[in-house]
Amino acid sequence: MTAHVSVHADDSHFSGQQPGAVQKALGMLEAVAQLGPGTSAKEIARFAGVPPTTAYRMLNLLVADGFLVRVPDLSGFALGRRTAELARAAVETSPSPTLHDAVEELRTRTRFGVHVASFAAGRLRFVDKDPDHEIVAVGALAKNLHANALGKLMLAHHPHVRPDPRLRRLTDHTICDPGVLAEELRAVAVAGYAYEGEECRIGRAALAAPIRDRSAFVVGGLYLQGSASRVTPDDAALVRFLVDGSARLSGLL
Amino acid sequence: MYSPLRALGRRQLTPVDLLGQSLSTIAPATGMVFIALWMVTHRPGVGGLLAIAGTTAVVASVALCITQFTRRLAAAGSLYSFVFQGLSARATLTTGAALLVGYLGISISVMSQAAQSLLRIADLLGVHVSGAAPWSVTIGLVALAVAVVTVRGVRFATRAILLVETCSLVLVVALMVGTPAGAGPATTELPDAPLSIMPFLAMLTVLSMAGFESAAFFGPEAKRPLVTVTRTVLISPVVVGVLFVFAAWAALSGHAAVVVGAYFDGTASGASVGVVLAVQAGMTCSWLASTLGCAQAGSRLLYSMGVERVLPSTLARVHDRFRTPHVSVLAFTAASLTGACLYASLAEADSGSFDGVVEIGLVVAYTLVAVASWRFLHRIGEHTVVTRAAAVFVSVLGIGLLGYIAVDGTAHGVWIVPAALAAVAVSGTVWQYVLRRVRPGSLATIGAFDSVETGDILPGAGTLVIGADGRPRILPDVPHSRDGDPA
Repeated sequence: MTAHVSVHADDSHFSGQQPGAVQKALGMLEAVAQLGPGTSAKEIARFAGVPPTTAYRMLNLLVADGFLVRVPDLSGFALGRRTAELARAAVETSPSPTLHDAVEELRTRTRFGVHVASFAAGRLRFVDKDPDHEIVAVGALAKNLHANALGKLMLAHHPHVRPDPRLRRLTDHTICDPGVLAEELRAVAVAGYAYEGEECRIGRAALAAPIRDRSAFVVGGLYLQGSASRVTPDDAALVRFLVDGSARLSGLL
Repeated sequence: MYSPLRALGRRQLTPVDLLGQSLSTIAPATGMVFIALWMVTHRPGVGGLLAIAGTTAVVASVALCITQFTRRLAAAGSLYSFVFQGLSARATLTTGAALLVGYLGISISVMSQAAQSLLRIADLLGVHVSGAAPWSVTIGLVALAVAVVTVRGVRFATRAILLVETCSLVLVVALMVGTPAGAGPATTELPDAPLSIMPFLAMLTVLSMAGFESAAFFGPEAKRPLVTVTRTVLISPVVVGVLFVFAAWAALSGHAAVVVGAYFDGTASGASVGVVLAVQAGMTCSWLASTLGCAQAGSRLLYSMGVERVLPSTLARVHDRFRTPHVSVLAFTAASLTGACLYASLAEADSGSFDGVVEIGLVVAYTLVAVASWRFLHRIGEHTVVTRAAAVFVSVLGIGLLGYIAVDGTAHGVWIVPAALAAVAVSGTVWQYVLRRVRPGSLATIGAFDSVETGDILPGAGTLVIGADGRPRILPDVPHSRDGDPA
């Protein structure tokens, strides 16, 4: 059993027949947050409106699982490190509002679809999709990293992420030769952006530029998708718009 | 700021390991055979069975008092560290001395028993050795093996002993179930019981259950200790009590004759060599497991005292690779070895008074922890009806039992028992006096447990600082001033 095992995993009285128990437990966490460190079990029980015997039992469980800690003389409680994990989970599911604001501002300045993807944990995952433009072939992107601009960006900057070794052919333009792909990835790293010309879907092209965190590590990509005739790497203004835009998102992802 | 017990290999023991540690220290297989022996020879009838069941209930309420602590803190010193949370430093040191007497006593007794049954096996296999010298040599070998396994690592040791203990338990139970009812009684000659038979059976049960709380020594080394240790401490006496009641029932109905005869009389009881060998092997394993369990528990107690500098701080040294307190292990094993050799040459004729002394140590520790649980829960304001009842029940019963043992010992002319009680009673005062003269600083660090670390607290929720009394406390953070980062 690890520290991350669910609190339901034992006879801890948090059963589905007692939905009130979860409410009480959360109420007690809130009580500790409100009353500050050193709050005694009695005070917490009174604040949360929980019968003392139940409260003592639940508090012991919350301490055992690291959501609360006992103060050194054991008479009171303080919030434990594990409560922070709840908060972090909440942050991860939605990008920070400032990132969204910055991307929205970029979207007002182009007629193409602009999307933000995260490379966290070696996975390609969209965290902010353009509400006005659907991502074409969105399902194929994460599975065929070699065949789209975001994937190539990720492969170029995260050498430990490997593409599917089969290098599936999606269109006639898809790069299926490992040597050519390696050459292409080197070019992406040098150029600072990646281009995808009908490699994923005929008639569609895209550009992608890296988004970096505060320590300049590539943590995601800004993805611009449009028709193959309009989105080209030869359009210097478009490429500059994208690269400048991604620079503005630094540290926000 | 870190926990004082950080050096131990932490968060490795699973609930199964804890149960292994607990069961091996108790060594239920040997307890079952001895209970069966006394039930067969003294024929106390159903009353004896009830005495064993009742004693189990009492031990379970002691367990309830102990779990009031294990739910709230993890400490390598077990009862010794727990008592400090409710009582004075003097009472804590008394508990420490009582626990040392108890665990060292059990360790000495099981170590010499292990050696003795090893010699019996050798005898069965045709190697005839007798006398004190081979016994002492065998004890030395047992001590060496125990020390190596205990230093080698806590997980390895607990797994090994759980396996060993399970095998001997299965063997004993199978033999009892397999023996037809109404078999003839054993013909063993017994030393006279120092007490009347009923209190003696109760005392035997308590002694055989000694160590049911030994999982509490491993809080700092267990995963989710506040949950798993508590559960192990609560389950152990119940499981063992059921086994003991089963053994007593088997003895009453004649099922136990073969096991008892084979262990105590060998082939002379009419059992075949194979059965005798199997029983001897199973019991030997059980004795060895118990020796291991005691060495593990006792070493953690010495380690805890070393960390607090109540004993020389060398005892707090932890092995670089195995993360076990190897100096404490060696010290405890060496003490057991010396004691066991003395026991083998001197006290064997008078094992009754030896058991009496061990019993005193255990009952003092259990009584003090019950009183401490009352004071502790009162201090932190977390008493419930059940905890109040258990604390009062165990304290009153413990004090009464101590008085009874002392009076009974005096009446039977076993002066060592009341003398041991007096010695344990003043040990705390003497120890505290010595510490005040030699190492006054240690009185401020006594009661070390696996306390909260800076990393455990949510940043911004409070700061861990050392207060004026030298003990840590948590101060609330002033809102919006997180720059003064906690240490």
